[in-house]
Amino acid sequence: MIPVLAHGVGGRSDLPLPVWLFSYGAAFAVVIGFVALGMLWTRPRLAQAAAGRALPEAVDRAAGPAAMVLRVLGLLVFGVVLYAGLWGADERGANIAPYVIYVSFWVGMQIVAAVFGDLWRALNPFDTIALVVTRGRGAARSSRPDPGLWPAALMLLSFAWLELCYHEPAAPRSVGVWLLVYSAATLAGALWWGRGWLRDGEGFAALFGLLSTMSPFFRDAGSSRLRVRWPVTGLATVRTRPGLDVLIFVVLGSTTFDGVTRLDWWSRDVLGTSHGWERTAVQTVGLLLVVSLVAFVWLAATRVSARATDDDPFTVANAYVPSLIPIVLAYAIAHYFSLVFYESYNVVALASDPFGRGWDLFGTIDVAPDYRLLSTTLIAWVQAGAIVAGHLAGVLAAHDRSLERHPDSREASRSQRPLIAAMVVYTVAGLSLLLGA
Amino acid sequence: MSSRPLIALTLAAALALAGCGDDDPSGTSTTTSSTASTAADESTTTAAATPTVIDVVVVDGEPQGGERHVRLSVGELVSLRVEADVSDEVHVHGYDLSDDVAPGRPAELAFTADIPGQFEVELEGSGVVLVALTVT
Repeated sequence: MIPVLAHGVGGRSDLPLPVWLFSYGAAFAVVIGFVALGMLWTRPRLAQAAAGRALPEAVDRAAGPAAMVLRVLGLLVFGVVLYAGLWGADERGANIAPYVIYVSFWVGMQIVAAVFGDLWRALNPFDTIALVVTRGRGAARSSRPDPGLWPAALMLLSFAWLELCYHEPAAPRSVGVWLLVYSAATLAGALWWGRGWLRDGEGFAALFGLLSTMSPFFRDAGSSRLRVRWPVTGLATVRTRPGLDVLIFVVLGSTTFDGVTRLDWWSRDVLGTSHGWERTAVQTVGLLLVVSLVAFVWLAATRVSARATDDDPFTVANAYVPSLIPIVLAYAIAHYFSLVFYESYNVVALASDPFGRGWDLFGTIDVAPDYRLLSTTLIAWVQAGAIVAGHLAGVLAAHDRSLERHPDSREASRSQRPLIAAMVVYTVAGLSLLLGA
Repeated sequence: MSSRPLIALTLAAALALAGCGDDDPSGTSTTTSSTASTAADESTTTAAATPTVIDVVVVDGEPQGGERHVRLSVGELVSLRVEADVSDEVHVHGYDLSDDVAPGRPAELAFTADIPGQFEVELEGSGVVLVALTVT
């Protein structure tokens, strides 16, 4: 059995961020913002840098078999998690499903995508199943109009709801049922919009795809060769699609709301002693409010920016929203870094007994996290560092994009200012949530 | 460029803002307690005589007075006692300690708070959180 928290997976939460670290972080964020306006490059550079360099032939040749291994692995893990969720022991701590979903998949895969590239393309069990079923034949897209990222945003919202609002998120059965329903929805989407939708239209595929643009490793769209480039430069290649901003609001809003639920004020004054579906209802309202608030900040900022440059507000909102992608990752790292580190030990342990039947397949059932391995100082620095680094990357991306859209540097400056202000708001808000209390 | 004075002003404001942060006592105490191991040893020897006592009474499945918030220093001895009018299991997360509780049979757990972080003490069966421990 593995100890779990009342609200979810994990035996321990991080300490509040030290106030001095918050202050320096916030100050730094503000400085970065204004330095961007005055001292950065004056011609767009990222798109060019995003072309990168080709990797050696040998690496490209190895990628094929490696992708096969990943496909098998992804399908296997999906099968095990689905089975465990639906028919494994319904005891938190004895079932691998919640741990894989919340730790390895939700947070782990975000980090893997940002560092190593779009590995989800191969790990994606839905895509693998589709490939096998259609034997690679038939059109990748149906003739129906592209729905953009709206379905993806809604699908991710359903996951955020499960994780943060539902009153029993860590119960294996909850995870199992949600995964079953989600898979059915994904199947419907693939039937309606074509197999290609599974790669860039389904919720997690879309998110991991966006995060992977920050990675140094990528596959060139034209030649299909593996290439390498400076991290973060890939943000310049993100296509603006309808619903992209909504997807970002959902993901950023959900991690923000996670921070809100850890505040004393929230658990004591807002939730009180409510349980069950009453609790779920309150949390749902909270999640939707926070997502709306995140959206409001961005839409207000882009409206001001659009007015200053005679542009359409929604075009501007979508054009610059890729610069929020580093902030999405930064929030995830700040909130979940220690969780991923510690609870991965439990994933290793439960791999020996995924369904809670008392097995010990690999001899790892007694592996347990030592919660003293990471000092609280280290964790605090990673949290603050990640948020500030995300802010910096976002500011650089926004700056570059404004230069692409407005060759006149003064106009570019005018277009950036409100956006950078919005990013400072997100960064300082993100840091203050870590203060707890 | 006209934005240079603005940058200088912002830098000054930012440094002032950062300077304010140093004055906060809770901020400095957090860093000293996590970096000085000798301080933890001292607190163990002084705390050895008097463990921190946490008493919880559970009525109708809920802790009387609501969820308790307790701050502890790393190395502090803790004596947790839970009385309840229901039969359940008291579990200290992170430390992974548990003891059964029943009407007339209080749960008693004594341990050293040697892992820093935030932990919950809950009734395993009902999922009700009794105490939120913050160990710094």
